[in-house]
Amino acid sequence: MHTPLRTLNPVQSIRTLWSSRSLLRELVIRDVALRYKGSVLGYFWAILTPLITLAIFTYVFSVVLRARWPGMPEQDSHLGFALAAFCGMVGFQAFSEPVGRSATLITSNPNFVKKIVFPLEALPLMTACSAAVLAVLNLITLLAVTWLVTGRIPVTVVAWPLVILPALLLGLGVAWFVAALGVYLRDLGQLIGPLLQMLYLLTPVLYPLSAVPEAVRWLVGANPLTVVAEGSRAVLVAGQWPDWSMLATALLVSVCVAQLGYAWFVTTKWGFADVV
Amino acid sequence: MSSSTHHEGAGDVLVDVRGISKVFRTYRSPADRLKQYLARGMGLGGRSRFDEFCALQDVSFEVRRGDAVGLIGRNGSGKSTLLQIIAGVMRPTAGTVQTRGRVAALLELGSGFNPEFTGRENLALHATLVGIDRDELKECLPAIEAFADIGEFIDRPLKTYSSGMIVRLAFAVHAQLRPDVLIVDEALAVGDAAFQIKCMTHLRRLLDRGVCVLLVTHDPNTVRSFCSRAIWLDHGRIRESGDPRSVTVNYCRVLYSGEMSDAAGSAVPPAAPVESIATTQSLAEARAGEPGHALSSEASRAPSLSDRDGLTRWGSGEIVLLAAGLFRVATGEQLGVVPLGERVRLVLRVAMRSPVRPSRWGLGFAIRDSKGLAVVSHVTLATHTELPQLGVGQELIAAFEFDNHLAPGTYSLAAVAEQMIGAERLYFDFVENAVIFQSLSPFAGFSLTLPPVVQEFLVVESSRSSDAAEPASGGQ
Repeated sequence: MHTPLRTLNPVQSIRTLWSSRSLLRELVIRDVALRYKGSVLGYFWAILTPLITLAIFTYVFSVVLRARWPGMPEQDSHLGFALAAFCGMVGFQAFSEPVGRSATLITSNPNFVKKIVFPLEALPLMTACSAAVLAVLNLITLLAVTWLVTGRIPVTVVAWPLVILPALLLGLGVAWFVAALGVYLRDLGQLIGPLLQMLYLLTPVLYPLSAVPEAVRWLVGANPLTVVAEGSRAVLVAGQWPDWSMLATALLVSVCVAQLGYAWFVTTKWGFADVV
Repeated sequence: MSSSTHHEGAGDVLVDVRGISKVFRTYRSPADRLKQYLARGMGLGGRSRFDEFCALQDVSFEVRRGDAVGLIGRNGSGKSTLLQIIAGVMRPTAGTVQTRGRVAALLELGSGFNPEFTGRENLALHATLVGIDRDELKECLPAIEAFADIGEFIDRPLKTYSSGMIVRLAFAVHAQLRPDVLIVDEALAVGDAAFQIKCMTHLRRLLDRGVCVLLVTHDPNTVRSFCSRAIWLDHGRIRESGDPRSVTVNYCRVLYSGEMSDAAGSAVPPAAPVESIATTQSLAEARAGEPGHALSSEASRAPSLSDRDGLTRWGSGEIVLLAAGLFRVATGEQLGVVPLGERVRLVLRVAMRSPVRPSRWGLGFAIRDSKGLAVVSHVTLATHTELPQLGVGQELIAAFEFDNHLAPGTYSLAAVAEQMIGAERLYFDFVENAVIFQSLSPFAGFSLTLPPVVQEFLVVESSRSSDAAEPASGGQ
């Protein structure tokens, strides 16, 4: 039996999840492969989609809106704004990918619930890992484009995994929570899309934090995803190190959310088989 | 009470099921379930937002090393729920389940598969799911391919597979496992006969190795031939448990005779006064005393053919079949399970509903096995038996007596009332599944029928002349 206290022990949680790592690896391989399976271009889409996004960003923000990103180099090229926005988007996607899929994750896999003995908590973890793979693929494209345009890649890139980590952990925690709740409350499947879109616009992804009015800036700044978006831009485009104290706070918050989400999931998962 | 008091020692018990109950609450909406949880969490009784359905009630049993336990019961009797609880997929409402050693569950073969991936790609995940890691999989891949025997399909997407092939592939993975407890939920009902034999051989080998097997099946013959113990679940309770033979016989008796129709609420045909005309062959002579009386008594007990589920019937309807039943000749009792060699009587009751042109008409029946193959048939038109001409409102009771030589299995009897107009056969009434029964035999059959065979043996000295030989003989 899982007692609530035991499910809140991070060491215990990690140990449990670690024990199903080989299963997780197969799940992630399958999940990533399934994204491109059967398409004509196959894995080429992994490069093509970020390029298309970059092209659209460039056209809309630099050509149509003639927007300029304050404090960014490469303002001369049209790509500057797009690269800055794209950095933030990659960070946000690390969160929104697992969350967006979570509401219907359990109900769309009834076999895993009822027909086989399966550690269900691995499913949200799988989506978070897939999101990490996706983020790395996007990063590679981004770096390639940056290198082509500016001829150099900032050394601060090495801090990027640490910068994106809060978004992944936060996404994982919320995904665990929403996945379990979504079994009982099917409405979440409809609700989660608009909510994520709202959060996307409220997080400084397409604009810098400095553009937010002073009065509410503290509120926007309290969002761990703001730290991720701003930090990504700093390390990938501006060549600056992230705000370490902010990053540490965001990391702490996201670890807590992940742990709480996990505890919620493993205590409610025994009811799944009765509902699904 | 405790299992340690058994003289074999607790170590032999691999599955210990104690007082398992499972109550399903059906809520009007999933949100109601959440509200109920929250209300309970806050200590509020509140109004109940659910209806309760008790799938299992106080089920207890033990399974020891080397045991093969067959779970039988009707649909909805709780078999699958019980297996899901033992497999650890579902939690019981009350009671405990303890399992020792590696538990492998074949709840639904191939359920973790994804149709987009090839067989080989699916194997990678499926093997991990059942506890085979990457290196082990590499080692036993040839064995899996050989067992599945699906040829080049292994490298094609699963969506191109037939359902039988998917099951083959999934079972092939499971065949590589070395479990202590194996749970099988009707998984082997699909697949062709050759593959089923392969699966059963594999299960038997596991049993010999000391694995205990828990098997859910609809087929009493599987239980009889494979299991060392049978548990009959009825409405979530253990109705009977013990020797597979006696449990399955009792189960079939209930399943195919009165109790089912009682439960279904269909009315027993009223023993209406009948103008009985007992005919057909030498039956009247064979049964001394009052054959007419015996027949009408049986006819009144034969299950009605009106408003019963599972019947398929067609025909012009001037003459209709009212009732059909199988009876033991020796005692006159109605049978759902027929032992091999037993002499039985099929009793049919027909009535004329509207006038027909006088013509040759007849009755008949065909007995089909579970694959639909007609094994036995008999029609009075073919034997040139003249049946009496009926008037409207008159009924005819007919009986057909024969020895049951059918191989063990489930059989469906189709009854027919027909007429010949010229060379054309026209059906008044044709009823499929008029009687469904089981044939049971104390020994295994390898053919469709098992007629009595006289055995005779003689031992001779091959070097001497045959006059020194000593005869030895034996009956069937």
